[in-house]
Amino acid sequence: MGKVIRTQEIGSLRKPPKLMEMWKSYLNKKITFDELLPEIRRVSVENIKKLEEIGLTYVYDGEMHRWEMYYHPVTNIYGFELVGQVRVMENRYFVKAAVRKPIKFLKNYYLDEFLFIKKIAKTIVKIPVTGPYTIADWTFNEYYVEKWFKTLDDMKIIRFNAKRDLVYDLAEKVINPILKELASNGAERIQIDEPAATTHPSEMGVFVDGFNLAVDGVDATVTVHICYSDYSILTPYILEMKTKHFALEFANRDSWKLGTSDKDRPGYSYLRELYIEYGYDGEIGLGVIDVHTDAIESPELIRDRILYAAKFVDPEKIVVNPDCGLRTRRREIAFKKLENMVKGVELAEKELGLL
Amino acid sequence: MKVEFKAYLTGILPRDDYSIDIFKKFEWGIIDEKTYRETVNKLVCKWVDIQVSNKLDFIHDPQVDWLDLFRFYSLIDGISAGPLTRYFENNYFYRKLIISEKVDYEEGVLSFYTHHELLPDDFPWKITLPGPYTMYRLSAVNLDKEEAIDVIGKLVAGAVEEAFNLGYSLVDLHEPSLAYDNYVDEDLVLQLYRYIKRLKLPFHIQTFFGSIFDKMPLMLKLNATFSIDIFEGVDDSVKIPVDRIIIGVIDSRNTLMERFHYISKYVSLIIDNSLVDTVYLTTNCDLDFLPYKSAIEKVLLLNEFKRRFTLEWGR
Repeated sequence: MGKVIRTQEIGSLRKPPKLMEMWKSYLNKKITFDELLPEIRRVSVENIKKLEEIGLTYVYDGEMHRWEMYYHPVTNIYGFELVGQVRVMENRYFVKAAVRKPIKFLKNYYLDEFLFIKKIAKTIVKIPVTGPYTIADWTFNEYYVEKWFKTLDDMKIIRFNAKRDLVYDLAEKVINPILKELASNGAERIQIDEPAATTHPSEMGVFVDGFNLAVDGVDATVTVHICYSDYSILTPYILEMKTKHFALEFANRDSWKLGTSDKDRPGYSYLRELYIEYGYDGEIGLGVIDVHTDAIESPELIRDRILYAAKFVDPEKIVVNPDCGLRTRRREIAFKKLENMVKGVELAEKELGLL
Repeated sequence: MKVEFKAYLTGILPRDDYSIDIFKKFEWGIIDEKTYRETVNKLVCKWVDIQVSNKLDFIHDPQVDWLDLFRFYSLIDGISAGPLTRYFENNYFYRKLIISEKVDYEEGVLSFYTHHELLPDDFPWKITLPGPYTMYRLSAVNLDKEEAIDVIGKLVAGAVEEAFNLGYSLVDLHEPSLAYDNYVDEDLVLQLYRYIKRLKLPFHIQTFFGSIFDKMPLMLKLNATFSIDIFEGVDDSVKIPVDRIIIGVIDSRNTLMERFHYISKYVSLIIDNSLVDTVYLTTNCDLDFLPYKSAIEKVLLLNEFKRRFTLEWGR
């Protein structure tokens, strides 16, 4: 484990085959959740133990209690209906929902898993929570569009208003009560997952307001994770957001060459814009692992990515992590990548004279 | 005014649940190539049947096994598939093409990905390919600007020519960047299109993810049939002096089913502001943004819209 530079996993890990099959049986209504839960808990314990062994500063259980980061909230909030699988990239799909009624809070769909994980973890728990903007953006917005159709004519304005209403409803009526309850039950660190944040540049105000509504009055350290995005769209809004920690993807856009020059590290050029040109002084969740390849980053490559980042960021403000959830990779690959990540942190600390 | 209405699909069409599972398992190496190929062929045939039964005027190659619209070019030496990149304002990602040297189109690259052998002989076929401007904007080209324009212009023209040689009667070029970009350099676009123009083959330009009303002078200079996505708004102050137009009347980004009276109002505005005698009705972008079942419902609706528009304005 790093002494100064902290480490974390972003969220998801791939489920082992047995748990995967049981989850499918549950979703196909062949078994009950009570029958599924013991296996979830067994793997959850195994994952926490493994991540603690690897030496991560902040851990979670790889989201074993959830089928998937979007599916979990939309099947637990009133108003959504699943409509089918939609492509995200290449051969990867997710089950997408349509919102067909005004949304309502039903229950805190993260509380039970959090209480279990908090009990078994020896280190600090960081719970990932899917943010309101991403839930809205990944949903076919039917109800709110229909509502605005009654009074407006211009489709672009209808779409914007409908999206804004859905985001704010989710933030105020669902996510904020969930976060407050998690915090009051001991959640110290909550990561809001907002991969969709910069998808629509014209909706950045809606994203920021939704985020701030969701975290308002929450007594915990709130971080945000955003990936595969044009971060220059985000920059002007960073200081408006009620968080001082942005966990971002960088490795996907970087080279695999060793070295710490600008030319060697093209994927990390945004750090200069963020810290030097824009003057941000908060924490960075530094993505150093590409989650879309089985190739395993060497500790030396991780080291160089961190050393490059340290030119712009105080090492105490760096939390090293993969670009995104590692459920895209087989478990043995994911764990090997995380092991090398921690080794890379140690090499970087040595180089920086922090050990 | 009498107008002829035609209808067709555009872009990558979605996979059904069974195919999604098989494609994923093939990628993971847990099923053999024969099973994969059979699945692809069955899915292509299903999409052909859907188009035939809905009386569409062109049979669109469903392109169901394409990983993204640009990927086939990465078979050419000197072009590789780079980082995952968001496809405009969508939760949909493509791999940015990295063009690292002066390359030429290689005959046979497109045919590796097409399904022409499964398309019915008694219908005209069409296929969607990346338009040169969008390809220029979405690729990383390690060449100077003039070389980049030349290389991309030739690559697209090469693929278009191969499509016609394979028997396709129509190529539609996906050009969302023409609509999405706030500023479009006209000279750049005209240069990118010069090789395709020399082919003297018919092609359509599909624009979406933005309005092209403020780019009408450029669209007219391209001298090709182009599309208007009515879900991005219709500016009734802009004249459209063309005799053929494509109108995106089905929203491929929402499961909400379109209402005829709403669509009809905007189609009327476009017709009234133009000289059209032929309107091609289509989806505003790839149906791949929708689940398979919803996509089929939208195809039925497209056919219904064609029927109703023909009743209203048809000859």
